[in-house]
This record gives sequence, C-alpha cells and structure tokens, in this order.
Amino acid sequence: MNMLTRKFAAGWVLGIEDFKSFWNWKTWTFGWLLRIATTGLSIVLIGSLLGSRASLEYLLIGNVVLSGCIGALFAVMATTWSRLDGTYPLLVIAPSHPLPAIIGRTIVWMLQGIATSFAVLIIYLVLFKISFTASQLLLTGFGIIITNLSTYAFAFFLGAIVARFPSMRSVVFNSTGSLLAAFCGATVPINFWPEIWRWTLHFLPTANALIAIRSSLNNVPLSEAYIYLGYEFLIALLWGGLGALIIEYMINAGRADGSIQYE
Amino acid sequence: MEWHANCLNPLNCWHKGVVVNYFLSRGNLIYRVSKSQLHSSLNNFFEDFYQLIAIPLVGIAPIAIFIQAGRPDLLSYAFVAIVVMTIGQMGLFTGSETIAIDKRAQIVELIVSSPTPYYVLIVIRSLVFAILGTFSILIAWFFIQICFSAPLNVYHPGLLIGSVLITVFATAGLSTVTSALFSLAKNVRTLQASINGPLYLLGGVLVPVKFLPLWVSYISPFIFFYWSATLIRDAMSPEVPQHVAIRFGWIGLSAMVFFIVGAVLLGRMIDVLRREGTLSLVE
Repeated sequence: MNMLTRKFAAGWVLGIEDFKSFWNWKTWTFGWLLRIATTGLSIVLIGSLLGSRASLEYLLIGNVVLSGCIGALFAVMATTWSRLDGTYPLLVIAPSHPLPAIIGRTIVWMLQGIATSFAVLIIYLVLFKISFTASQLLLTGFGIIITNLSTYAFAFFLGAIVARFPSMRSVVFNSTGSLLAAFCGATVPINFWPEIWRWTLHFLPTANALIAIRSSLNNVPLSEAYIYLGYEFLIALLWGGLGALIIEYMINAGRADGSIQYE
Repeated sequence: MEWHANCLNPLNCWHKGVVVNYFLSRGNLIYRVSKSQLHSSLNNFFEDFYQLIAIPLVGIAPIAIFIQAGRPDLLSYAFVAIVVMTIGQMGLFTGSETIAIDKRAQIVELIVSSPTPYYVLIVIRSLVFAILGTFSILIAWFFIQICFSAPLNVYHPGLLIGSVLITVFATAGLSTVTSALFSLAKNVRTLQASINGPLYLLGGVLVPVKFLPLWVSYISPFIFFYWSATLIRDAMSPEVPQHVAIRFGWIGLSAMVFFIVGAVLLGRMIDVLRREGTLSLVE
C-alpha cells in the first residue's frame, strides 16, 4: 500500500468510528431512517393534498433522492471535525497530502446517503404501490449513487469553507438540504424558478440526476437519461475539485497566520 | 412568603411589601435568567439558534409547490408548517439542549447547588427559546408575501396570536420533559433529530391528518402540535372557527401535564445524580 492509500485507510477507520458514535443499526433504522422517511412523507403527501397522483409521484422521486442527499450532507460537519479535534496540524505536517485522510474520514457519509435513498425508495414504493421496470430501476439506482457522490462532493466543498468557521457547521448542514429540495428539481421543476437562476441551478447536485431519473420514468430514451447522469458526475468532479482547492488554500492560509490549530 | 407572627388569619395579613417583593424577586429572576441565556446564546448564535434559520427554509419547498400547482389558497398550510415547526424545534430541541449547554460550560454543579431550583431555570430558558421561535411568523410572511409575492390573509389575528402563544407555552412544557430525559443520554442531538419527523407528520403540521391513513387520526389528537396547526390554519381561513376553547384547553392541559412531568423527572434525575455523586460525570 502506498502512502496515500494508507492515509485514506486511516481516515476511513476514523470515519467508521464517527459513524458509530452517531448510530448503531437500531438508532439508524428507527431514528435516522424513520425521521428521514417521515419528513419526506410530509412533502410527498402534498400530492394527495393537491389531489394529483402525478404530483405525488413527482414529489416521491424527488424525496427519494433528497433523503439520501441529506444523509451525505453529514460530510459538511465531518469535514470540520479534524479541525475541532485539533488534529489538523498533524495532518498538515505529515509527509503526504492531507486530502486522502480527509476524504477517508468523510466519505462514509456518502455511503449513508446511498443506503438512505435506497431504503426510502423501497419504503415509498411499498407504501404507494408504485412499480418500476428493470431498466427504470437500474437507472434510478445509478442516479441515486451518482447524486450522492455529487452531494458528497458539494458537502466536501462546503465543509472545506466551514472548517474555517466551525460554528456555522450546523446551520450550513441543516439549511443546504432544504435549499437543494426547493431549488434543484426535487419538489418543483427548475423551470419554475426565474430564468436567470436556472442555468446556475444545473450546477448544483441532484438537479441533473433528477432530470435523468424523471426522464426514464416518462419513457424518454434511456441514452438521453444517461447523458444527464454524466452531467451529474461532472458536477461531482467540479465540486470535489473546488473543495480540494479550498482545503489547500485554507491549509496554506492557516499555516501562514498560525491559525491552523485553532477554531 | 411570610406574614406577621401575631396575625390570626394569614389571608388577611399579607404584608403588602412582602407580596410586592415576592413578585419583584420572581420577575427579577425571570429577567436575569432570560438575559443571561440570550447573552450566552447570542455569543454562540449559529450553534444555539441554527434552527431559527434552518427550519423556515424547509417551508420554501411547500410554498413553491403550492404556487406552481396554482393553489395559493393552500399557502396558509406552508405558513402553519413553518411557524409550528420552528417554534417546536427552537423550544423543544434547542431548549432541550440547555442541560447539554450547561454541561459543556461545566456549571451544572453550580446551578444545582444554587438556591433556585434547576427546574425553574429550565422552564424560563425553554420559554426563551420557544418565544424566539415566533420570529418564524415574520420569516414565513417574508417568504410568502415578499419573496413569492403571493397572498397571505390572516382573517382572525386574535386567534393566530393566541394559538401561537399557547403553542409556545406547551412547547416549553414539552421541552422541560425532554431536557430531563435527554440529559441522561449520550448523544443529545441524535435523539432530538430523530423524533421531529414522526412528530410533525403525525401531528398533521404540513399536510392535514385526513390525508393520512385512518389509524393516524387516532394518534394525532394526543400530539398538541396537531391542535396548534388546526388553530393557526383556522386563523387564516375566512370561516368562523369552531371549538376554539376546547382546542385551547387541550393544548393548555398538555402543557400543564408536561410541566408537572418535567418537574418530577428533573427532580428525580438530579436526586439520583447527587446521591451517586456523578453529577459532574454525566456525559
């Protein structure tokens, strides 16, 4: 194993411990999953309130994807923990770059997001008696994985900024999910928002993957849907890259002014 | 309180100054506790008040859905959800963290050994958080009327104010119960974050209970948020609201039960911790 892999593995072990400090299988299922599924249901049932099955299914798909994203957004907070633990300087003075360790510690939350989305998908499909074809299910599965990757990358970017202002981590974590839910096509189409915003909204996680999943459910050719998933993947690379640049900048700034070990 | 030693009927002999002093000292206590809680929370704004920012944002999605569906008449539902959920989160969840905040500051022993019961302080501080949650009225109004330029009519302002106040009161009551329960738990936020989804769904805070399966309607009346939501929704409907007194009474009763249970639980908890000498060791 080379140095980078070892650092990633060390971070991963820490990430698993972080996860265990939050949840065990019981609290994850009956605490986290129940909370996420019921919060999403409040929104999905607006479809019933509006008396429209189409609205209900639209909101259902949006919430399946969003549920996972909220799980992946834990990475915003996780990115700040090394700084709060006071271990940032140690990561920085180690001979290799700190990024693999940071990614190793935080990527566990992406897996939480993927697991959450799949669990919520199963719950909603059973509750609302919706059936998917195999190809639709496959594309939805890919969509969930790629969306969680892009949301994780976005969370990593936000976390890199928040690491400089750790007291903001709760507000950023809790607000981002609601904003993504409102603006990225999970609850209303992006076309609902002013024209000047739409272009920008496509650069946020979930927007393109949701278009892909919805297209496949509306029997649009699958190739077109997979192109949107490709866009979502590019968005993941974009935010991940920006996050890495910001961490690099923050580390250099922290070393320059001696604030790297302080909150 | 005290009365003149040579007075035969104490009810006739309340010394005016004693009564005034009693209320002044209680008023002073409330003022000082509220002030110090506000002061410490404002210094830690984004940690203690993050719900006040984050929860109203949850309401943007429903507002957008109703407007997109051409149903501005349902915007009051989004308003109700924002207001009730923010008061709930601020009072119940942030208020519940008061003991955690004290533990962090390592002042639990000092508070317990001071002459004012911890319970009184918890009630006042929970009320402060719940009252701050009412800012969500302004935020919800701002989102609907200013950001979305959509209509939002309050047909019964008195009912709206009364409903919000009694909700604040009951939330503070529930907060005293949860603060006692959660103070023994290891990871407070994990627990807090877990109960909000089911509570608001079953309480019909956003989508009324009649759109949920029938069995939910047997549970909802036991959740006071259900009554709060129906009252605030009625305040924004042109029809004359029905059974207002009963609903107020039910929320008030819930509040009283919560305050009593909270007092008992907190008292027991502190007794146990003092007896075992583990007050400062609670994680």
